[in-house]
Amino acid sequence: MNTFRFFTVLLVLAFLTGGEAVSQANKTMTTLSYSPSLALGTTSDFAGDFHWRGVTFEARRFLDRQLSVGFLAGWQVLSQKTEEPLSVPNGTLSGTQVRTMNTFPFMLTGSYYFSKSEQEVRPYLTAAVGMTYIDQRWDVGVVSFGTYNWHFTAAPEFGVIIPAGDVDVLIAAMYNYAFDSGETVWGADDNTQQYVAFKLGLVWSRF
Amino acid sequence: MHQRHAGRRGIRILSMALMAALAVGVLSSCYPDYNLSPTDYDVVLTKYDPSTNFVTYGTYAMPDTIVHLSADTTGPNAGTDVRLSRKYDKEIIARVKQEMSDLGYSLVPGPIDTTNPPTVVVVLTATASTTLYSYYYYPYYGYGWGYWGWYYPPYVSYGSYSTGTFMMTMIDPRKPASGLGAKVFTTVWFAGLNGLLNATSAPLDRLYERIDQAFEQSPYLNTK
Repeated sequence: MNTFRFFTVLLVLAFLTGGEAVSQANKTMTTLSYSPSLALGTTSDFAGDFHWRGVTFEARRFLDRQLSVGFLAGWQVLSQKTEEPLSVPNGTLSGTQVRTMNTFPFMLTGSYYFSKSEQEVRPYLTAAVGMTYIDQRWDVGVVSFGTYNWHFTAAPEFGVIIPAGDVDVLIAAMYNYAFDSGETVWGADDNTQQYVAFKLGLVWSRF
Repeated sequence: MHQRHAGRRGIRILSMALMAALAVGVLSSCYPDYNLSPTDYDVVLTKYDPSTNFVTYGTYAMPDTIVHLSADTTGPNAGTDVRLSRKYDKEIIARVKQEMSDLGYSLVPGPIDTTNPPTVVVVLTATASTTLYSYYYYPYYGYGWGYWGWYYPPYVSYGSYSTGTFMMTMIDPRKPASGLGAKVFTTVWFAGLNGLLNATSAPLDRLYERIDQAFEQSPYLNTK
């Protein structure tokens, strides 16, 4: 829960400092990113390591030159086909398995930009909190198991915005930590899920 | 000026590439199917009695017939059973005997001497059933979808698939099952092979592979 407090404080601070907004106060930025992902921990055990399918949409509103708040919505498909035999109580189950996890994060974001100038590469840090809908499906033989849960999620991100004329380019990595919620599709009590979403996106800015 | 144009062209190309990647990502299914073949739906489950020490076994008896189990005729599954062929029974029985021999078990020909039974009895059974399912989908309709508060009714489609299950049950005739009387014995090992029926052109090879897999994933059966 400490993490939750940390991100809440960051977001509140981001909103409060908006009172000092100057020339950038009305600037908005929308981003559409292709976002493959790298699964970690038990998420990786279930769905495999690297996944190519993902998309993220973000909108940010600047409070001043170096702070913005906003929201994001994403979709990552983590999936693998495996022949790895499964241990069951006093036995083994073998056969092709398809394990798939669809994650849909919906989060509020607060971002700090290390540079005030838009004419140069702008590294930034984002703190995001929100909820992620995670659908897990496990197909073994002709049988399919499924479960879904909403997870409270915290997600720090580091990225850069590269100026490129009318449309800028965003490159970032966001670590998503979806806190325990319900049970996994394979019956484990700890349903914490985590992955890093990489972003290669286009940025449209508007004053 | 020239550099600026080149930069914009680069961004335009990147935009198009990104949009293409996004389109592929978005239009792809939520659940990749990996182009599975019918044999990818085969599963082999083995279970054993953890209190059993298989090294103490050495002889076995096995009826020379695969028993076909019939599905429930009055319950909710009534009428879904499928008549199984006996075309490959001999080959299947021979394969199981070969596997048992490889693990160090000697076959005791029948009839079974109940006063001095073999250490285990292996019973082969099979069953099959058909599952009916339905699904529906909406026809594609682009602009104006649901605009007037109505929409096209879905297409409904039906399908079915038949699965067969082949089971190998190893029973210890010296180990009565607790609470079930003197004539019911403990199953010390069970293997269930389940897959789609009539799905491949070489069913025997597929059966051999799954039978071998059942023994391979049960190394504790070895008496040597």
